[in-house]
Amino acid sequence: MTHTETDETTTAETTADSPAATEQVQQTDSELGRHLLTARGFHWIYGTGGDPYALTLRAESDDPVALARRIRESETPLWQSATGAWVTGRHATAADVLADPRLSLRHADLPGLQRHVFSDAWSNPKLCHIIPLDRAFLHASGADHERWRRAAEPALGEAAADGRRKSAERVHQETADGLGASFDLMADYSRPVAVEAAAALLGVPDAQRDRFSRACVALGVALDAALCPQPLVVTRRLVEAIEDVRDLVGGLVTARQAEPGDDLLSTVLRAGSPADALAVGVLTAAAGVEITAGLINNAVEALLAHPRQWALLGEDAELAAGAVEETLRYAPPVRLESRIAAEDLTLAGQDVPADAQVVVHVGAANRDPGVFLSPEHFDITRPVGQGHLALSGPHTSLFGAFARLQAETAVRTLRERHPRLAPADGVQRRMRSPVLGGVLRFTLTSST
Amino acid sequence: MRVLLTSFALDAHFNGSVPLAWALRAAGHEVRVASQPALTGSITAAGLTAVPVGTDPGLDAMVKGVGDSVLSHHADQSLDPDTPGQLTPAFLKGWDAMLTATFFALVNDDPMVDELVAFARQWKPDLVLWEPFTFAGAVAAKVTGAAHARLLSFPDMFMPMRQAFLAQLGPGPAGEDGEQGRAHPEDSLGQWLQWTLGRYGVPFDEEAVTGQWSVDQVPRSFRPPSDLPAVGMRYIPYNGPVPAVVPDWLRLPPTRPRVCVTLGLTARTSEFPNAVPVDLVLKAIEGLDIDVVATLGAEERALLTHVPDNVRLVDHVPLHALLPTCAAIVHHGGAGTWSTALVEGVPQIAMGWIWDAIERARRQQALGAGLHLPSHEVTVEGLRSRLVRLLEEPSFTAAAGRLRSEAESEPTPAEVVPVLERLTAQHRAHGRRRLGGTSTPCVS
Repeated sequence: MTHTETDETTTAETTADSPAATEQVQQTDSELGRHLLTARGFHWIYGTGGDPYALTLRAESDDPVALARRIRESETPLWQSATGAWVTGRHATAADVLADPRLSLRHADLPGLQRHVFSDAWSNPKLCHIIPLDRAFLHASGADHERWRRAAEPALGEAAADGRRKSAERVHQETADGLGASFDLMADYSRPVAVEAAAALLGVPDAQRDRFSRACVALGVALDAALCPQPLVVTRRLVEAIEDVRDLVGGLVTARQAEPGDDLLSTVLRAGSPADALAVGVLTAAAGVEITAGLINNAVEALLAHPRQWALLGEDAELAAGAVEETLRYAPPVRLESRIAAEDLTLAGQDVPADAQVVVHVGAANRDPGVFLSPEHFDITRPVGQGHLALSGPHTSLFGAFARLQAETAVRTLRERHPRLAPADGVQRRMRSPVLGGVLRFTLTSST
Repeated sequence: MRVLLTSFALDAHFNGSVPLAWALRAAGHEVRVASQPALTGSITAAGLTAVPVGTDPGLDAMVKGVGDSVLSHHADQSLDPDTPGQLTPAFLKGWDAMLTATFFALVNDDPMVDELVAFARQWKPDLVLWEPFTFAGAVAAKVTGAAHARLLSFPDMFMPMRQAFLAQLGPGPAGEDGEQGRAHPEDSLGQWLQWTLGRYGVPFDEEAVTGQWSVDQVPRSFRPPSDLPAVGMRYIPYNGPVPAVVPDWLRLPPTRPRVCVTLGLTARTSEFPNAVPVDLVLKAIEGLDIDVVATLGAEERALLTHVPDNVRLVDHVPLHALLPTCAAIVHHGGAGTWSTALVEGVPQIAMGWIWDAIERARRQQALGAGLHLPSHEVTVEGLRSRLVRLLEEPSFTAAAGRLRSEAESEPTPAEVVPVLERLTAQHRAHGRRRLGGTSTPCVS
């Protein structure tokens, strides 16, 4: 069996930084499978010495919060993991890395797909881009992201989010009212509302909603798949979903060119190219949906684990915004941000060579005791201004306001409609999900 | 019949299959031995017919790059049921992920499997016998419909771990991935075999891992409990592609108890490290009223600061010629040395420090036929006192003798040939060819 990963012939890729439109890459199951297997083997191998970053990527039985602490409490703020990556879990260094334009999502000297073949695997494996996600625009340059952010701002910025509050509340209330006495938070609430909100944002017609929703489920592993090899079948599904959602969004972009509307794609088209609109639309499905669903899951999980906070939220619904900000700090929906140095750098006193991988552990930095008072404490009344670092990457910040609005609406609605919400048992998380900590199942009971 | 024998290119893993290959050949069967080109010299030196397939697997580069980590994952892992909590889910998952990525998929890489399958399609073997990590043999058999079996020449630690791993994984996710013909998505070995077999349109099943049966050359006392079909066979020592010459001094009976010291051959020709502090070993022996024959390569000899008077240094001597004259052996723990000492009934001090070598040595000690002294724990006094016990306490020699009898109670390779003929006829998928050879099954 062969599979065509890039067969693009129609969509225009106009900028120099975009994935090369003509690049054809075919990988057999054996080739792709072996690659994933080898990367997975490396994560196990590097974990044998106790390396906390390798163990984080291994994503097995070790407690991710304990590993995050070890990453933060390493002797130097920035340290080199056995995997080759430079890693930080300290707030100040993490903030510097995330703000540094010389650190990008892609290699400065590698045009086209961010694909690494393990040719010299045993001595020097490149584990920074496990699979190329350029077709989902997840390995784009800073310049591309800046252009996309500006073009999307009128539809994705804070003001736009506020404008969508009413329609969000309606969707959330309908979904919350349809829940039974026992339900799965992810499958029955978080993902449906996130998909619905994304579909509305993009103006996906009703006839395409199921297709869009299916693609979003398969795309849910994308941010994990960049750093942690997924099983072959999951990877194939992801790659197929990327192509499917490109096709779907591409069709919408063409339609909006002829007949603009007030949706996100039309907004981007007003300031940018059809290729830009495609990118923002695909990113909405590949990153926006899962970030949003994850934020809702994490917020509900944290609130229910802290009954006093859940009670506070009941007394003052305006605390919903604080609950979401505190969740972003305490249990960020994207835990790891990976960057590539464009040139030789000195970071936190360490010499980091060009092309090296630098990883910020957002979850670790967000509990840096040098910055946060009682960082292990979940407190929805925590004063704002103690800047957590969640959703501050170019691809994750794009959906910051969108995800916040949905999560605020979710916790407010669930608190109001299901005040006696309680976990039936623990959260089950996906395997191989070190970036998102994606929820597989979280059964809740409601006795309203 | 036509028998295709295959082993990845490492002498230590190939040598154990040579006596059965001779027996099959002598019984009139056609035998071909397929491996990467690096093994061609060893195959032909054994008097067998080589079929080079694929390219050399770069095992040394892997061992150099990540060998320490892979081995350290396996340190302190035991099949011993008295050592509870060893085979944890995390250990087994890492074992499966690491070994498949670094070893199985490396020594059975795509060119090797493709060329082996191409050869099998053309030559049409009736039976494929494969070294237990050379899964390419199972693939070639399943693609062509040949019968196939694993040929074990060391205690099978792999299969009990595999079965424990599968039991812990449970059935695959409902629906697609748990279906017939598909491996569990978290089963790295199964996944790899699934897409490897998939290249030829053949579905995966666990038989690609277990073989249809195994030929097991290990005495029963060292076989882990198993429900899988096995044919026992006596281990016949074969030293590998080194000159097998009996020197003058070996033709005279020793005047004092003779002790063999050897570190095997694998560390001389590969990147597999030899951790034995050889200088300490000889110091421990100094002054004892014994004759020591130390078979050491040039690099090992270079580590010596002093050679005691009672030590004869030789580069190599056939172990099966030397050991019948020895009262004890002190060795590195390798499977070939261990097996040869076992069938010669010689008490052993095994300095094994790698996973399977540790397990063999522990079991040997539990059965009273030797003592285990991991190489990193070797001291002059510790080794010396153990060696004195081996020489002075008759229980060691008696226990070693019992294991020798147990080994000798198994059928010889020649006696196993008719059993293989019968099993091959039962298991071959396609039309019968004249299977030839002798025809009276005498072992069940």
